[in-house]
Amino acid sequence: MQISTFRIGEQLYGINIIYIKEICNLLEIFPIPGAKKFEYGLMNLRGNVISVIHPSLFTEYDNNLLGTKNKLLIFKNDDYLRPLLDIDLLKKPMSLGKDLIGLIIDTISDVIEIDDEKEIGPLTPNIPEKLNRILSGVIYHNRQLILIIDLQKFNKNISYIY
Amino acid sequence: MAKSEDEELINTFLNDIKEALAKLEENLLHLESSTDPALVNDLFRAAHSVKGGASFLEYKPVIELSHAMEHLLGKVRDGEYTPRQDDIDALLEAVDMIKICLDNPEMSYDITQLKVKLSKNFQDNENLELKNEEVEKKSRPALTLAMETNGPIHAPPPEKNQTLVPDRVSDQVPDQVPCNLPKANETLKITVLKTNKLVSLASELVLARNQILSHQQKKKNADYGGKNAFQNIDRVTTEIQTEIMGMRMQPISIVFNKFPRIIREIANKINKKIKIEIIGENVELDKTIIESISDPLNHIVRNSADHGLEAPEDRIKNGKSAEGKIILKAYHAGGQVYIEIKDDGRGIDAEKVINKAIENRLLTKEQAQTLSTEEKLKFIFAPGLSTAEKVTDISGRGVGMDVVKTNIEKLGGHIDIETILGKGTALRISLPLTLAIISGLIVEVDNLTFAIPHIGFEELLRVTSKDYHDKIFNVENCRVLKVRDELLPLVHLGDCLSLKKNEIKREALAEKGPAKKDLALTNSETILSSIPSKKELPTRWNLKILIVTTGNNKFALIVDKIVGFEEIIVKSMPAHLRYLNTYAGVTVLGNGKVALIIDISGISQKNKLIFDKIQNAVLNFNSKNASKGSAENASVLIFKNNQDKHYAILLSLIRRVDKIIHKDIQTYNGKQFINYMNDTTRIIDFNSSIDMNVEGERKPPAQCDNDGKRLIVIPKNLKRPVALLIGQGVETREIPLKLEENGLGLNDPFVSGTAIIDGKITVLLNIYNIFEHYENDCFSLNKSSLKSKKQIKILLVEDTQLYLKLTTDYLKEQGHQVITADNGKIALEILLTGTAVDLVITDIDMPEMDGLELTENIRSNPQFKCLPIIALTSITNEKSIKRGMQIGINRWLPKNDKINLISTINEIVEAELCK
Repeated sequence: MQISTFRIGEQLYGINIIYIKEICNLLEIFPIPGAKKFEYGLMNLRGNVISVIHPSLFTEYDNNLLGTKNKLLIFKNDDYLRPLLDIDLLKKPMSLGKDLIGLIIDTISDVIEIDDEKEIGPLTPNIPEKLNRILSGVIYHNRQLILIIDLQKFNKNISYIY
Repeated sequence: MAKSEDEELINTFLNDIKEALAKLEENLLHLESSTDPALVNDLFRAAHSVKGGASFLEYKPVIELSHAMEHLLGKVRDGEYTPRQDDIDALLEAVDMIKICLDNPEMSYDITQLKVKLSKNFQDNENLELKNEEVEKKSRPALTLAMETNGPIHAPPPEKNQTLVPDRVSDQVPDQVPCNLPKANETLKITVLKTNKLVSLASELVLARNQILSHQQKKKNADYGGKNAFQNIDRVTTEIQTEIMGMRMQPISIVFNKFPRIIREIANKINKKIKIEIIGENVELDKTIIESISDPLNHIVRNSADHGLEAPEDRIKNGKSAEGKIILKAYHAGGQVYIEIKDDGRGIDAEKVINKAIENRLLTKEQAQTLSTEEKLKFIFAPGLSTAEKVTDISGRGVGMDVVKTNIEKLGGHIDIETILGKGTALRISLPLTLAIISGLIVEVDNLTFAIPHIGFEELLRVTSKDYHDKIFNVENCRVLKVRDELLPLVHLGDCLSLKKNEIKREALAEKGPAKKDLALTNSETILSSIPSKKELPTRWNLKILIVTTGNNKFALIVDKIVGFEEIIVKSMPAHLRYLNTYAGVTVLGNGKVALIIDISGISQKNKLIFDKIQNAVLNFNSKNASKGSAENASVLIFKNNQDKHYAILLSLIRRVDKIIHKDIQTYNGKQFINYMNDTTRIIDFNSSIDMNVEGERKPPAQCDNDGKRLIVIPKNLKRPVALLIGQGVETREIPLKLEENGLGLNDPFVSGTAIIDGKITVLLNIYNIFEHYENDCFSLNKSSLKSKKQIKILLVEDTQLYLKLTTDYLKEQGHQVITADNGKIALEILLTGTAVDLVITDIDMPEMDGLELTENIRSNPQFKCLPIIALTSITNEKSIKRGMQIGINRWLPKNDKINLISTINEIVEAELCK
């Protein structure tokens, strides 16, 4: 499977490319008064409302993430997932909810090809709890550590955290 | 049932049958009272549709039953037979049976007995059997799904949904029938899924339109052609949207129409006589709302019939007619639909409710004692509380009003209850019209945009630095806004949303730097701090305030900027943000901005503590104020005559003040007239005619303005157009009314009294008398009808001298005898010393003892149990009124409405309440 990798700060993260709807520039983001810190705001993407998540959900890295270089990684919702389910591209049926959710990242990096999930290694115990909650494993690629995000865990976390 | 491959077709038929059944049910009830041929024909056709549908499905029990029904109805139609009560019962029973059959087609049913019932009153079973064969023969009728809706009239009558059973219909339905068929009823069935898709597409279209609109507004000199084309798009879009939304709208009659039947059955079962009245069955609501409102309504109506209405003998004992009455009423108001269920039964005893609540440990006895009657009644909505002392199969089955309430609130509605012991109960449900597109007010706070649903707010107002101190007060460290005579909690929208508590720094926002730091109202800390002194007020302090309501709560919200109205498409809140109950959803505005939609009831709940605190503070403030003495203010219109003398008229008596051109005034027969708003209006010149009475000498005619413009005053409640021509220097002012006690104009019928305003002696005019003097009979009610048939003795309790005098004058004019008292305490003493009076008219806000307390005292004395009490007050808030009514005030009237007061007194006199 293909893993799309991206950076937040120095750290390299990865996510199964099949779950990514698109990557776009940050447009004007409208904050949500009263929301949690990581619930950064709402963005209008061609008439659709994207709920923008700040990486503070899982990392302490909190540099200015609103530069012109920064991107928004938008995940698929059930509407985009359904066609994949229909043609059996997904191994098991899953749900990502009805909302379009985007994660602010620093830069987008390479797409790497891995042999199935065998290459994904287990999480090491020294990973902070906050981060642990959204990961499915790690990959060592070109002597770099890539943290693989599990989108279902990610979604669950933004709904139930704290 | 036939195992047809085409499930959709089967569903179509099932729906047809169900529709026909509903029609049967509705019309069968009318059959009791009339055998109007059109009605019977309708019934016959409905039974026929059922049979047609059932024969397609080859569902034998239903075919047989419907055939028997059709047969009976056919006899009635042909005039061979007049239906009896038990026939109708049998027909209804058959309808029920068919329903059951359709719901559980797997079961087998014994319908022979029912068939016998349907035909027992006329002996031609042979005929029935014969027809039955015919049914078998026709069991595979030719089906045509004709999409053409406007076919030729001579064609066989299309059944609902264009399901044609050609040969059958033409040989059974008389020729004249086709013309009677309402063409408008032809329907095309579309799945809800498809309409939903259309609704969301229409929403997108509206969005795109709005985007073009805001683009268009930006560039002002757009070419003409483009503008024209856009206007077209704009219009068509709006139309498409309304039409599509309209597709989902259904009349509430769908729900209402089943109630006559339900009520009839209940009435028979429990031996009560019940009449049901349905009003406004054409009011339309979104399909989803209609569907979900059915059960709650059912529950409420059953409750009313079973528990609300008394048994006939009890009713007669209580002086009511034996027949109980339930009114179902739907109507539009303020962008919402209201449904009222009213009965004239025994009402609900708040004490019983609260005792039950205590029994169920919902609260303690001590807590209960502090509650008002209204609050006690609200416990009827608490879970697991049925007030029915015995549980019947009609109502009171444990699922109670709490379920009703939650269901209604899920739809975005509210439910209120009102009850008068012995008189009846009314439940009022308010519902939104639709769910997807709403009209919203766009506002800004701290450069963030929010939308407020139109439904929630009542009015907009601006408080400038000039009138800040007149409008905004600090009551026990809480800010309140004075709107007319009401004090409302005042909060900043930003505080309600805990704006500024977001921790991530927003660079973009910080730069623009909300320049509202000096606006001390924005922070929760400062909202509770004391009001700044005059010096601290920044000169550009202009507050924009929205007054919003939710349920019983009313409060004022400050916003930074009001952008305008827009039709907004409600998108649901992302799931992970639903915990924020201050928002009802999100929307994308025409300018591409994302705006959160404010949930007013959420805000009210979130800030409940603050609001409650303010409300209490306001109450305390009011009571304190009252004890300080009469601080009653009145708005007056002040003007000067030729001689620079000052006059005033109570603003509440005036309908309109307008400018006219002096030379337009024409004189006929020594009377002056003007064409004002297409009415020949009689003019009474204040300076030349009335002044004389006051001053005792005639003055030269009034001078005009330089441009010949003069002012006229038109009072309220006029029957004929009459206006008072007044002098210059007109202004309105709110003044504390304190009448001077001197001899000036004491016996002048045109003068109510004098007051000192801005150091000038001002004569307060009695414009009723002035107008009556010059133009006899010009008010809405003429004197003869106003004159009471009987003169009574009235105790008038009022602390403000002006009103005391005004009202006494009115009453004396009517020939009534008036005893006055300055406050409740004095009034009570008068009553207790044995002075017999027929009626008490009391102010509410008074020192020593207020009107409510007075009422309670009067009512607690058995001697005065039936003494009618009218409250005459400027208090208009619902809570006080409700409370007043509960403790025994008979009528609640505004001050200064002479006509209303007098007609109410007459009403009371006539109703002989005084006895």
